Amino acid sequence: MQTENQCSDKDITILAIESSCDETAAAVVRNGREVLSNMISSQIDLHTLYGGVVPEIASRKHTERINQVTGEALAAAGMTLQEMDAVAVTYGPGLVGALLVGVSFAKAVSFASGIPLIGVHHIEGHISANYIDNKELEPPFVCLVVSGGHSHLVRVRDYGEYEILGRTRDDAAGEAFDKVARAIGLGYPGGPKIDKVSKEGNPDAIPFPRAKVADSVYDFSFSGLKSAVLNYLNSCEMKGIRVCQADVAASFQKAVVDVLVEHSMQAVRECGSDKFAIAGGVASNTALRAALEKECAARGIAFYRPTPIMCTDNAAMIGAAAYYEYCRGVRHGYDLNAVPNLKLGDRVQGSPGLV
Amino acid sequence: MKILALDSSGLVASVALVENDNLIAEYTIQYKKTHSQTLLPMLEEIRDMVELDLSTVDAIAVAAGPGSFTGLRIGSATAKGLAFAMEKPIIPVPTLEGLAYQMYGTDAVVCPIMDARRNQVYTGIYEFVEGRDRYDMRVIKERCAVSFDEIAQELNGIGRKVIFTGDGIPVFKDRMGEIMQAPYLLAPAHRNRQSAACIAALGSIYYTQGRAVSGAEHVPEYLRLSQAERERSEKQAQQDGGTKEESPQQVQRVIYRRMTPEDVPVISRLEEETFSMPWSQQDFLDMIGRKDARYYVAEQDGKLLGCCGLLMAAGEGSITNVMIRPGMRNRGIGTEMLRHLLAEGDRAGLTAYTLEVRVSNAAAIHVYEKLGFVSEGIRPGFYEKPAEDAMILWKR
Repeated sequence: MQTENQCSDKDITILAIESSCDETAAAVVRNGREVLSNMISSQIDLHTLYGGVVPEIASRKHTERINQVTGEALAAAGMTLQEMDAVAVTYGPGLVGALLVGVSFAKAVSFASGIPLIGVHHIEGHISANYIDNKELEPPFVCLVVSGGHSHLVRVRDYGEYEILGRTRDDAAGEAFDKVARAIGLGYPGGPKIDKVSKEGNPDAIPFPRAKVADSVYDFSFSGLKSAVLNYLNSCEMKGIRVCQADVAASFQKAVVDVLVEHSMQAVRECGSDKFAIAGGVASNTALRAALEKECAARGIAFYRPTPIMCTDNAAMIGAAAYYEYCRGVRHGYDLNAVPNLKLGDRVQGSPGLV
Repeated sequence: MKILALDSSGLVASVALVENDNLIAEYTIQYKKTHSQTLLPMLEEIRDMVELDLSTVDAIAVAAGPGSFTGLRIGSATAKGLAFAMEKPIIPVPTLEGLAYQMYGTDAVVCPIMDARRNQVYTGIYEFVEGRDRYDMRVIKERCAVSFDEIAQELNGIGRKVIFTGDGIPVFKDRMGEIMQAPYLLAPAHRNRQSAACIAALGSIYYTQGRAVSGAEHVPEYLRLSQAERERSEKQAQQDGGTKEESPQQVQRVIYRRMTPEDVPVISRLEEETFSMPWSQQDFLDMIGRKDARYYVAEQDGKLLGCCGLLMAAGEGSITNVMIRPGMRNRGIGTEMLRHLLAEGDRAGLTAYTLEVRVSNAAAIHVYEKLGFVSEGIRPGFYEKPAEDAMILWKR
């Protein structure tokens, strides 16, 4: 793979667009690290009515908002479209209808303005959020990506070069948070709500299982844990025992955190890495942050994490990832499609150095 | 005037460029690839082939729905991206009107049917009437999502010869034979699917009627709520004892038609609720009886939402009334109703329109400006109760 750096001395400014789930976002990012603007139009209030993200509603809202959000991003950066070096857009993974709004819009903007197009992998965006908030961080490092839709343990070998060490076999960590939150009556979104309630609960009150996947030391499985919580709730109900919401939340959260931390530390050790980063929506979970910080410190490993706003879906992280793609010569054609199940590290089109 | 047009509302992906009355390019495919992979490469091909300088394009017309939700969004998001980068407006053209316009000049009524799943079709009924120098397309039944049987009954009621077009034909062909009493014919291969050239041609007309919107404003017209919203509103309706929530879907089923004497009592009551110096029932009855007047109402599920009207003299139309029921304002109903009125005026040969509005009525002034009206002066103290100046607007 050719990795000739095409951005040696000149500033590169990228307009980035993200619409893979329920946030319509646009940002302007310089040289992959400096955020000039970062606009997010959240639909969360709307989806809360339905207890989770409704894909069709998300797609409709993206269509309503995308021009305004993109216009606001350029205005807040004090720049014009013509000053951009590239238009970047998330093309997967995510909800296909939602992705298609951003992809169709960004392709048209690129086509009509003549500014090159770069498709970006959503998870690579999450990992790259670390470059924005930790200016000194450079590959190689190990990164744990945990969000509503993803749980990945990734070895970042170089900019744009990823090796998946482990992934979830069933539910994503964030998904498990949402489902358990619903079961104990906390509602959507589950992550922040469980995080908050757990602070008042006993994390050792209920011994929920720490699931291991037999044939892979790094893979996760959270559906067993979710079932264990549901079984516990059912059996309490049958026995007429009152359930302590805070204890269930804290014990569940501890079980998730334990598994994530254990796998992460094992990966860091076996990769011989001295740098570890977290990314994704669940990375702003306070218990997870605290546990990882402590374990890393004990092992003399530098611990990196994005600020909470950079952990959520945003376009600045897409702009950060796009910069390193830009430097590698990646450009996409106007047949770029949304790829809802895009694998990390896959390059569907626009091979480096071919444009 | 140069109009770029896109249609990806159904099985077809289509891109066209029309300059004045010339079709410069059209590229249409019906193939298994997703519109996301084909639409923009097709536009790129057209641009390169006809050496199109995008900065010379005046507006982007797009098939605005109904249709496949995802297909509509690929078209609309593409149009919105083009509008954003080119700083040009979007002309939303209802998909069904684009389909019907392909039957230009026929004396049959045209019924486009698109398969809407859930045993329904997206449809409407259209006819062509002679205008000044060409046929104008007139809406007999506004676009809607109904069962095929329902639209067939409506066509049987009209009793005229029908041409069906659209991708619903193969799905409902057998049912047609069973239920249609009115004589009917089917559109051939080159006329029975969406065509961006038609969207461009209609878009050019709508553009001159002031129907273009900004890229930010444009959203597709789905005619249907998402499943989650539908289920939620049904559940709520049950909880509220059967009263249904006002949904955007219902707003889109507003019909616009000429005012009849039967409408006058309700219109007059609404007029009293709205204006400090309302017209009486007799005023309206006199007006709708005149040959040099045109009066329109907006109606939804049998409920009148508003009215507007004009008087014609020497090729100019003087708009005498515009009224929308309280609670139904700011939903685009007034704008759409006025468009129907102006189209009616155009058909009667009018070349200019004028009206007065209270200078403080910013919402109304915005609507008129959107329709192409321009302020040409102030008439001091024109209004009473309270006394206020009138702004004089003209659309020429």
